[in-house]
Formats: sequence, structure tokens, C-alpha cells
Amino acid sequence: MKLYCIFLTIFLLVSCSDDTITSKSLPNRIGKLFPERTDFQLNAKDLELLQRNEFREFVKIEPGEFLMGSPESEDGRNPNELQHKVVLTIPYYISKLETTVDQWNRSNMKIKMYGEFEPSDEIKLVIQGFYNTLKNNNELLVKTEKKFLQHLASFSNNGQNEQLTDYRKIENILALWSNGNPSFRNSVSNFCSLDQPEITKKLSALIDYQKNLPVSNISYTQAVAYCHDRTEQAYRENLLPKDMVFRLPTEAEWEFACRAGNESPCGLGAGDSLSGLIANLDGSKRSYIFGKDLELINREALVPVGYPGFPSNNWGLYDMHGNVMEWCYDFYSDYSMKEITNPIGPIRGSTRVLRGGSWYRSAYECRSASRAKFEPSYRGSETGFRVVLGYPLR
Amino acid sequence: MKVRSYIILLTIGSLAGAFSIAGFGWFAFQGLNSATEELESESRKTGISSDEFGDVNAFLETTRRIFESMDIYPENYTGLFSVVLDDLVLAKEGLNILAEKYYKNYSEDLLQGIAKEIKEVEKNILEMQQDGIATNVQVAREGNNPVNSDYNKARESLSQKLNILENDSKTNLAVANKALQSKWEDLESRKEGTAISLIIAVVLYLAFVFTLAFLTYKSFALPVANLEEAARRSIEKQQPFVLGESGPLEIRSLTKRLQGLIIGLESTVKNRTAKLQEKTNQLKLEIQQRKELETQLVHAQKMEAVGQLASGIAHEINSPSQFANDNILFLKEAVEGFIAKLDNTENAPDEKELSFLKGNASEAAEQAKEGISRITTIVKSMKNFAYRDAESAKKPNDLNQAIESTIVVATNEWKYHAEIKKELDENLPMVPCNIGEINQVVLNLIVNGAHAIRDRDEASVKGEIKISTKHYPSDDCVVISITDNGGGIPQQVQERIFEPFFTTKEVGVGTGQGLAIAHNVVVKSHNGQIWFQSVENQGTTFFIKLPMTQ
Repeated sequence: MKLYCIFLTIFLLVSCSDDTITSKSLPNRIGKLFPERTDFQLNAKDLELLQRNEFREFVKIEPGEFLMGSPESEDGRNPNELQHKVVLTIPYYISKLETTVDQWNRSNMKIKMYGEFEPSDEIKLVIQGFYNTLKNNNELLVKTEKKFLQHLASFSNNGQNEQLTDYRKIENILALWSNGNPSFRNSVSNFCSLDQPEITKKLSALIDYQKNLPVSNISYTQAVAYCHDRTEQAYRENLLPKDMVFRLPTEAEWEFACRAGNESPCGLGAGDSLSGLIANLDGSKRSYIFGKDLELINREALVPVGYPGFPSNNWGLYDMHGNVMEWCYDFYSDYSMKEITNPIGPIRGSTRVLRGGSWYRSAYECRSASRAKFEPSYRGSETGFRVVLGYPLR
Repeated sequence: MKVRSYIILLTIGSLAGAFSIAGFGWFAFQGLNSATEELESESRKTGISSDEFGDVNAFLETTRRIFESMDIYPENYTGLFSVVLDDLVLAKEGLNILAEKYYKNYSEDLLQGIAKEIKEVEKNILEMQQDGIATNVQVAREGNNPVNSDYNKARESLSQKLNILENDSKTNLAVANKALQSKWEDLESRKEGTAISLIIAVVLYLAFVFTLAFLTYKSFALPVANLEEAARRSIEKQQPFVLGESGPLEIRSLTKRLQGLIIGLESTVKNRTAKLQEKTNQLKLEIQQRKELETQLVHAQKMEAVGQLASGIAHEINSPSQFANDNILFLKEAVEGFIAKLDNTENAPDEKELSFLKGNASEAAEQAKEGISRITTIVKSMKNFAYRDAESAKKPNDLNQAIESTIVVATNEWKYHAEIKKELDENLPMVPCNIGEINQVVLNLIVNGAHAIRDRDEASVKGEIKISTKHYPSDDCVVISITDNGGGIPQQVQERIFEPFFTTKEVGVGTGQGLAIAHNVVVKSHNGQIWFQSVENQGTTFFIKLPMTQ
């Protein structure tokens, strides 16, 4: 028996022994071959340039450091929000507002975004008035596009088929209205029993509203293309500060701007409360919102940028939470715990990051630290972007 | 070794074995796991799916895309520079990553060279952008202008370096793959080796446990079984307990003790049996003695009674014997007178005297005979009464005759106080009984009755003792009843009269044995019954019921 024991012990000892790893001398570290930009002092000409109207919507964000991600104690936290320190050494100018439909359509982008919507009953009545008047006016009828006429007709048939319109068509109607002779205008006015100035006002207001909605249904690629286009236009017109470009914010730049020095879940006010009251998000249930505001609001649609009643954050930025999700520059990847300077994400990947949540998402998904990701080709009613004027990322 | 030692050994052995195997398995697989993980992380670092390879490829792709994009310049440059500048950003970041993470695998010169060329290319592209787009540069330069050729030169140089980088990377990959391959193989063989070792260890452990179990069985369970078998055999077949001492200390000790115990048990049983036998014999003897004693007691009581009766009987005999004697004396006188007459002697009686003698002689003889006869009757009665069965066997006896004899024997006890009135059943069959004992009982009762009459308060009424016998064929029994008209038995002692040594007579007069013996005789010896009816101052009747079949 003892023999067994001894044999077993020896056997086990022999089996458990491990190979030792030999070390060899390592080559020296090289360090960054393209170090951080240090010359970001703008000359007088550029400073003057930035005072122009074109740059009115941009807010300068000074270099700084902050904790990116969320602490583990945060409610509604996702594990991919590992908190880590980020240092930003380069200033950048970020748009206060999300890119609007109007901005998009005024760029050289081939695809225009007119944003289909269902008009209010009042507008429908106005459209019906237009159609009825046009029908009986041969002179105008000849001038009018057939397709447009069909569109107008669809509202008169108590249209079962097409109830949607877009602001370009409203613009057409407004043009017809503005150019119309007094009898035409009277006829329309009588039809819908509205004063003539009122009709003008309503149509203009509708167009303004639609134009100021944040542009949605934008893919990452389209957003980048918009930035390129804007850069190029500005470059051509010599309206670009030295070395700067229009581009998407990096994820770190976005979160830094969103937090505006606020380490709480949300960048607005004290940051402990987020609901439909202060942002355009789905606050239809108590469990969808957090903080002291208990009003359950879900607008179920986009609202114009800088919506009245919505506060800006400490640095003057609007709609960082909700409305549209904003594409960021970075490929999506998990955070590392290490402190990092001017991160731009990995150099390869399949998805890009979106931040800020949307009108369709709960307040928890609209937190400062909340991250979403989509393929760069993906576009949907939630996806929009915000432009940064800054130095190239490397 | 003790049983405890076996159990401890078995437990420790099993536990130690199990723990060793578990520990060994754990260590082995821990080692394997960590090695596998290490290798996996290494393959992530160096293999085809490694970060390094991916990063290098991404960098190469991005950088080369710059060249491809620039190929369309100057024919179509709308949006071109933005795209290219974006790619430049990625290329720079890529090179930064390569230099930071993989500096071990690529020469610093190469990376520095690439960085320098990228900067050169960037500078050229920015100049070309100015030429192509900027409105402040009025004259767009020709396709073969210095910037273009500078770009082409830089591009060529960068391209070459990128190729070198790609080659290096592929070489690294191949080397790494080879190293990985051999490491994987090593790991596989190590896994196999571990598995085999583990199997061997398990087999050894099982063998060890089985050996232990067998040893335990052999040295512990088997002796116990043997012991049990031997004990069973010893008890069932009543053989002596024979078993060699074997096994653990306790079993051996138990065997020894059991042997001792069984031997001791046998001798004890023998001793006890002998003692028991002795006691039984003694008891038998005592019972016999007691029986004899009882018989003797009955007899003694009878003799006592006879003794008590003796003076009365002597008196009874005395009268007829006197009477007979007188007559015999007269007869002697008459015979002498007759002889003298015949002889004609001078003293011969005269005629007158002769006629008196002649007239009275036969009567005298008759009277003498009667006197003798009376004596004979008394003696016969006494003999009858005193008859003692040698062995207390029960023979058919004539109860009536026995009662007559008893009455005669007891004459002197009653004749001064009472008359005897007999109502004896003439058809009484012979009753199987010990007649001596029954006589005794009847005598006791007659004497008691006579004494009761003697001791009663009023003497005005003539005492009477009525004795009757009756056969009851229906009950197959005979009942003797003896009734006196004495004072009766006081109520308070009625329950105790059959107790031995109970007497109402003065000390020294009665022994208190009479009725006790009567009870004993009737109930115990003859399976009969004895009871009484008594009315104070009017009399008592005793009944004796004897069964006809014993």
C-alpha cells in the first residue's frame, strides 16, 4: 500500500512539472510616428473667419480630460460602457444643432431629403382648395406638372391612397399661392374659409418646421460625404480656417461635448434626470425615463433642432439626447480600461458608432454614455449626424 | 491490527487517492488550459487571425487606397481630397499602432521610412489639393508639374516600403504559424500524455482501492463471517465451539472470549442441571415425606381420638365383661355343683340349689355369651374404625357399616347427652373411598355434634344426633349428613372452622385439627365436598358429598 502511495506521489509530481519560459532582450519602443498636433493657435484671419454667420452654430470645445463610459452603479447601464479616462489635447468646434434637412438639401448631395409627412387637416383643406381652384383654371392647369396635380388630387378624393406629402410640394403650393392672381387666391381662401395672410403664414410655418427637422435616414457614408462636400465648398470659397476640415466627431469628442463637464448619466442640468420634457425621446412609460420629471411624453416624431422648451447643455449644445442618433467617426470596439489620448477608435471594423439615442428610444438609451452601432451603409428614421469643424484626426 | 486501523487506512487511502487524482487532474488541466489560453492569445497576436496581421493588412489597404484614389487626379477631383485625407488619417493611425504594438516584429528603419514617405505623400497631396480646388491658386498646374512628379516619386518609394512591410509581415506570419503549429502539436501531445497519465493514475487508484478493499475483506469481514458461522454451527449442532484465532485484534480476542464463554457455559449448565436435579430429588423426597406426614397426621389424629375414646370404650367393655364375668362365675359355681352332685360328694348342693342352678345356668351362659358378644362388637367396631389402609388406595366400602362402627366407637361420647337417630339408606352402593379416613371424619363430626349438644345452654330438650346417608344416582354421588340440635356455630367463626388449628374449645382440649382434616380428606383426597348449615341455638348439619367415581 505504501508503495502505491509513493509511486502515485512521484508520478503526480513528474506529471505536474511545467516548462519554464526563457526571455530574450526586447527591441526599443518606437513611440508614435505621427505625434499629436500641437500647433492649433489660429491666426487673426481665421479667428475673424469664425465670427461669420456660417460658423454661428459652432461652439468651441477646449481641450480637456474626462471619464468616458459610465460607472457600474449607473441605472440602465450596458456592459460596453466600461469607464475609462480620456484626454483630448486638441480643440474642436462642434455644431450646437444636429444637421437639418435644409442644410442637407442645400449641400451638393445628390439625394435630397424632403421628409414625407402627413399634413394636418387644416393643410389638407388648403390643398383641396388649391386643387379645386386649379381644376377650373385652364391657364394654370396647363402650366402645372401632371404629377404634382395627381398629388393634389389625392387629397381631394378623400385620398385613401396617398395621405403623405413633403415640404417641397408645400413649397410648390406656396409658390402657386404667392404667384396666383387675386381671384385664384380668393377662391382658395373661400374654399377653406381662411384669410389669405393666414394661409401664407401657415404654409410658411409648415415649410420652416419641416426644413428645421434634423435630417434622418442618413447612412454613415452619406454623413461623411456631406462633411467632405461641406469641407470642399468651404475650401473653394476660402472659408475654412487653416488645416481645418468639416468632419464627424469622434466618439470621445461627442461624449466630451455631450457631458459638458457633467459626469452624471445625462448632460442636461444636474444630469440626474432625463424625460420627454427636456429631450425628444420615448418617455411613454415611467420605466423609460429616469429622474425627478414624471411627465410621460412621447412625441413619436422628430422635432426641429433647438426645439423651444428643450434646454441646452452647459456648453450650449442642443439635442445631444434624443431626436436623431448621431453618427460618430469611430469603428465600434469595446473600450479598454487604459487611459487614452485623442482616441479615434480602431483602424478596422465593420460597424460605426452612433450616440445620443433617438426619438424612438427610452431615456436610458439616450444617456451620455449609451452606445449604438450600425453598419456604415445602414440608414433609418433614427440616424442623423452632427458636424464638427476641426483638425484632421491625425 | 485493529478494526479501527483497517477502517482508517481504507478511508485515508481512498480519500488520499481521490484527492491526489482530483488534484492531479486539476493541476494537469489547469496547466493545459493556461497553456491553451496562452497559445490562443499568442495566435491572436501572431497568427493569420491575429491583431497584428489584421492591423498590418488594414494599414496596407488604407495606404494603397490613397494611391488608387489619387490615380484619378487630375481628371476628376471633386471630393477626392477629402476621401484621400480621411484615408491618410487612418494610415497614420495605422502606422502609429504598428509602431506602438508591433515594434518587436518590424525594423524601426522601415517604419520610420514609411512614416517619412507618408508625410511626403501628404505634403504633396495637400499641395495638389490647393492646385486643384483652391480658388486662391489661380493657375492649375499641368499634369507633369513638379508637385505631381514629387508625389509620384514619394508614392513609388512608399509603395516599395509597403511591399517590404507586407513581405515582412507575411514572413512573420509564416514563422509565427510554424511556431504556432509546433506549439499546438506540443500541446496536443501534452494533452494526450496528460490523459494517458490520468488514465494510468485512475487505474492505479482503482487497483489500490480494490487491494485495500480486498485486504479489508480478507482480514476483517472474513473472520467475522467465520466467527458467525462457527457460532451458528456450535449452537445449532450443539458442538463445541472450535475456531482458530485469525483476523484483527478484536476478532481474535472475540474468538478467544467466545471459546471461553462457550466452555464456561457448558460447565455452568452442567452444574446448574446437577443442582436442579438434586433439588428436584429433595423436593420429591419432601413431598413424599409430607404425604407420609399427612397420612401419619390423619392417623395420629385418629389415634388421638381413639385415645380420647379409650376410657369410654374401656368403660363400655368393662360393664359387659363384668356382667360376663359374674355369669361365668355363676356358671363355674353351677358346674362345680353339678360335678359334686355327680360325684356325690358331701358338699354337693341340695336339690333346691340344684334346681336353681339348673334353671339359671343356661341363662347365665346365654348372658355371658351376650356380654362377650357385646365386647366383641365393641372391639370389632374399634378394629373397623382403626383400620388403616397401608397404601391410601380407595376401595369400595360399605359406608353404612362404617358409620355403625363409628357410632359404636363413639358411644361413650354421646350416650350421656344425646340419642343417635340413624336414617341410613339401605340401597346405598359400595362407595370407593379410604374408609379409615372417612371413619375419622364421621367420628369427628359425631363427637363435635355430641359436644355441641353437651355445651348448649338449655338442657331441657333431649339431645339428638341424626345421621343419614343417601345415594343420588342422578348426580352419581353419596351424601352423608350429620345433624345435631346443639348450639350451632356462631356466625363470626363459620368462615374459619375449616382452618387448621382453629378451635372454639379451651386450650389443651381441642387441637383444632378435626375439621381441617375433615376438609382435607373430603375435598383433597376424595374430590368430594363438605359444607354445613348452622342456625344458632337450633343446631348444625354437616354434609359430606362423595362422588361415586374417583
